[in-house]
Amino acid sequence: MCAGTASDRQKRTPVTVRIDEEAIKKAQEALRNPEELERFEAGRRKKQALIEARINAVRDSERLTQSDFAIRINARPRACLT
Amino acid sequence: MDPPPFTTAEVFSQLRYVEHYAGELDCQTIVIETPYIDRDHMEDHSTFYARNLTQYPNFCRRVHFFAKPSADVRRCLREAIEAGATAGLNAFRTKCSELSRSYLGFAVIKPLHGSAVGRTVLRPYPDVPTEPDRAQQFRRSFQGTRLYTTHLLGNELTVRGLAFQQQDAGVSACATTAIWSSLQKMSDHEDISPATPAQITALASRFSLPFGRAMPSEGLSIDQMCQAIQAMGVAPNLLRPPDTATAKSYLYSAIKSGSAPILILQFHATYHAVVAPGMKLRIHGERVRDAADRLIGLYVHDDRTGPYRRASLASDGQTPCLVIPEAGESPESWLLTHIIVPIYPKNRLSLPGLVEAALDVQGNVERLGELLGGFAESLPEPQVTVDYWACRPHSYLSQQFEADDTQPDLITTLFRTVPMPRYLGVIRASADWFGDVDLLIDTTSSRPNIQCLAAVAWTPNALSAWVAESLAEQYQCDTIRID
Repeated sequence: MCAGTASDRQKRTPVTVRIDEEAIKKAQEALRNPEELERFEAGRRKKQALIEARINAVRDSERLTQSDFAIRINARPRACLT
Repeated sequence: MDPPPFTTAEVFSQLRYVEHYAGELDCQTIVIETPYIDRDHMEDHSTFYARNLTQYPNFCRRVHFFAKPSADVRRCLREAIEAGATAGLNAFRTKCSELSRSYLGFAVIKPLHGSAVGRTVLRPYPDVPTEPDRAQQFRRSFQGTRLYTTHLLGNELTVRGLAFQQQDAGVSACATTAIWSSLQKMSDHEDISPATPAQITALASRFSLPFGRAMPSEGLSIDQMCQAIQAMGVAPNLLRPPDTATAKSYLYSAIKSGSAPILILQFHATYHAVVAPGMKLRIHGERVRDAADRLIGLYVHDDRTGPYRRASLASDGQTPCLVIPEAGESPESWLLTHIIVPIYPKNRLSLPGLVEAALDVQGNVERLGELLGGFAESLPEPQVTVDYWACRPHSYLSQQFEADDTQPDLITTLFRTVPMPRYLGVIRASADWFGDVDLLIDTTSSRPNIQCLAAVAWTPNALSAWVAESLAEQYQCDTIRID
């Protein structure tokens, strides 16, 4: 559905933080180690809770009832006296 | 023109707004085309006004606006025809595009003295504000607009905008005109015929009339609005955002996806519908976790006033609201209760589905960053920004061509190896430690059977490839990266 305006132009995110190869290798290994991964996941539950709260709000927005559909939209121009 | 009986001088406020707006765009010349046959008015006339005792003409006037002195406009209009006659079609087209650069759009003036502003297409405000201090603060994005072609004295002119018109409270109320504007944009994507206000009101009242007669219009219910959109061959994605963050996510991704969402607003017991073809995005300040957090305002077609009205997004407690400034008066603050986004019917992945998937991707990429941060001192706060929208694959492709770091091999591999749906769901994760990675989603799939197509590492480095591979493994799809 994209439009073709100038705002569409892609600006790549510049990489400003350099990380050494060794750290990447260790992180990749940790990702494959269930014990280490479990210890790590326990430490980040709070952050995950924030994301879950947002996901719940998104799901809430789809819970519509009959009263939503019955809303009457009829704002009149200000010039009308009736 | 005199105000009709039982109205106030405010009856001309839309006309004055159009005049003022054209002035803001530096209009120097107007050309009045008369008579002008307008499809929308003709249809409204045959359905409604032709049956009045007092007859109204079935033709209109059309006012064209130019940001050029009148002598120049006259000369350009003449030269284009002469160029075509002497040097051929290409010369004619070149001259027409030159004139289109100063063409600001048009307004159809209907022969109804109480609701004169008919189909009006005007150029939106520029993406980059002209004032240097404001240009440092925000950008405008009018992706809910489309290109319109008009013909004047044999010349073919183009203008990008979104059609606006005021409600006449006979054939249409605000809900009808909001649908009419929004579907104008939809016909830019799909082969649907733009519906007239009379057709929309008829489609909306085909199966239910909860508030009495259809015409003169007594307003529509949300149910009727959805019925009318559905009858036009488009699916209405109806949402009730419970908080401002969720509202921002929907509005941002809808406009970025090239839709013009319909906003249902509430002020005390009155409900109103407006359309948002554009948004205002903050560019300064802290890095955001969600690209939608940059959304600070909207530009709305408010049929009670005029097109591209500036409005800011705020919160009333948890409820999102839209604050619309009033000239010389205190601003109006409307609660934003619902959003309707017309979408292509085969696009089964609703906006909530896309946003939910984006939040999940964000959680997973941040997790990778935190894991990495445990081993790399240079990464104490691995913040990830997530962006999300839907687009046609060819649009996604052309965006890559315009990127500041084009990756020809990656583009070729992606489009050779991955079968593309009509609309792509794009979730982009970005961070200063890996660059950009896109997760592409098949929008013809639906929750809970969502299908991912590929994770693309657009930044050529090892970390970007690692993030893409991890996402591909998590979401069961291919990785596209540079080896």
